[in-house]
Amino acid sequence: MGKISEEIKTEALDFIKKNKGLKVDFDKHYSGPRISSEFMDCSMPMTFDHYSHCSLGCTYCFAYMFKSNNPNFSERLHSVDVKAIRKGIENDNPGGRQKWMYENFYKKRFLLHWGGMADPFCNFEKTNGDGYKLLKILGENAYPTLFSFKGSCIFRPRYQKLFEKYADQKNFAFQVSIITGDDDLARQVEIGVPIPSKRIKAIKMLSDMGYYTILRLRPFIIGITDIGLDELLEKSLKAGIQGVSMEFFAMDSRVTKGMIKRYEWLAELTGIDDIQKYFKQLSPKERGGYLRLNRLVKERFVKKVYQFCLRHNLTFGCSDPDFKELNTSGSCCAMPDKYPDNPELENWTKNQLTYVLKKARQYYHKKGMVAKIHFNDVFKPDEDTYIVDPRLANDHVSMVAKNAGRRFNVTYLDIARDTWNNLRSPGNPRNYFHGKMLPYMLDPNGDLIFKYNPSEYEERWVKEGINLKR
Amino acid sequence: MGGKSIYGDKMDILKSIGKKKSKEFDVMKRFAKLIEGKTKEEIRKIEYSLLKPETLPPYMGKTTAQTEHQKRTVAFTFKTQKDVQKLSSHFQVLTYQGNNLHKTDWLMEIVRLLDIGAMEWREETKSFHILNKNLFKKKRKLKRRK
Repeated sequence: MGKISEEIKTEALDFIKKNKGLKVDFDKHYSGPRISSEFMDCSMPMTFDHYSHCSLGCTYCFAYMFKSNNPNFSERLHSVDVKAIRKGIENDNPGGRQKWMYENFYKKRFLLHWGGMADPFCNFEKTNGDGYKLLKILGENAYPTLFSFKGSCIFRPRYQKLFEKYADQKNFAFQVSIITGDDDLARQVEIGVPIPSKRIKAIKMLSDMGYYTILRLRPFIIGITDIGLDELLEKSLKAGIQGVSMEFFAMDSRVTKGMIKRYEWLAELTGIDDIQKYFKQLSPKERGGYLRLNRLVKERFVKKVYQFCLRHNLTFGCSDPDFKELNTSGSCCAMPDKYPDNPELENWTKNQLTYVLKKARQYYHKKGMVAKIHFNDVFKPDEDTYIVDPRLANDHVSMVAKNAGRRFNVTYLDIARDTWNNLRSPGNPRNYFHGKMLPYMLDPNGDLIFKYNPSEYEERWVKEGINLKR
Repeated sequence: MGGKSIYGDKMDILKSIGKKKSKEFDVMKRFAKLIEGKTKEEIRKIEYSLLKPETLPPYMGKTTAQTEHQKRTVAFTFKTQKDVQKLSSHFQVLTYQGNNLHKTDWLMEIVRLLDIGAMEWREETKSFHILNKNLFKKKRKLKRRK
């Protein structure tokens, strides 16, 4: 155990030391914002990172998995073009990607999600400060933005002052990621990351300013996050959270040498003998090579967090494909359905499967009837123009190895339709939600109609007195 | 989800829950008892042996004509360029490479066709005739034997 632990720590600390003071390479800009590859069930498909990678050394990092599997990944640090983004947001003759983003998102004041693959307040921000310039632009324009973070740069006086300055606008919301309330345990998993108690202070600081804050229990690692979970929830509540969002750790079956070591280390901490065997055995095969544990393994933890949210009237968000129907708002990041203090924070899309599953669950428990879900009722090009814009979909993961003719003609609507109708695809609703939506028949357009499929746990929970109508 | 897409099937649901109840209900009840007072290593072992994924019911109904699998790009070989032009008047041609491989063969990429290896235009039927998919493989094998 000691040997693996030391190797992992040394690797992560070397990474942090190497990156300390790393300056942005200006030979090219990092592209952003982009569309989330999970747009089919994502309420905030416009996702954004301002640096090409992250300085933190979290051993479970999914971005590390994706990037270490990407032969094009470069260790040189690139940042987005701040001036171009300003032009896009302010509609000051924007060009290229910013023009596309203006036409599909900025113009509608669509909620920006900052912190998809990297941390907005990590050590790179301390050295380079490009994020600060962007924050000023977003603040001046009162642009609705959700931050996902755990970095400590936010405690620096100039950032605190900036957030205090715009607190009255309430155009910012914050998700703070914490995987355990135990500082010592966190140090072994999240190397070089501020300890959880410091992150709870960040929640308190931002909540006291009047911002909407969310506890982001992601990734929920069984064997780590469940230890001291009650205490963590209580502490976060005291600090002022208004929502909780959770998603369980998933294991990528495409492993690099670095990843194998990290997996072994996580296995020791969680009490698993052979992590690859464990995940293969307990993950539904229909979901493909990104191994997510099945519903039965997760149930007791989801139940605890869901009940906590009901008790304290918090927004419950579950980004995991299992239990997605339990979301109490249509956004699995736990953004509220209604936010009278600044209605622009409600400006996320409802034309996605998280919202649909939530409505279907409510429909079943309120009326005892099952929802039938049509493709054309979920994806609406009139409202979400980005799904029919052919300039945006060519960098989607499904376009890898496609010829140029296909890549530059495809739209997100085409990708959604292919996935919706292809029962072999891991992203197909039947497979991804593992039976929560079952194909029923074809509609006149040739698209599958799915049925909401109530699970056995729903009946059991209702008998125990848990409210599933919310 | 408009009004037309949601309507009731109350009986169906009651039946489906009844079927599931016996299996999963028992598993979860057993699991809750088994993990009482156990260490996390022991709990992981119980999870491993007891909480296997549910089996999804198969879908026996109709599927859409074109799936991503069927729409994948394939290479076609034609005898003359005329055949290629005829094909492009029937189907969307995305990339035309125009490689002249063996003087009479033409390689191209098209989409929205079923899994076909090779075909030729026949005047008498005014249609494309599907040739044996393994035509070229067989030819190569024959040469080796000689």
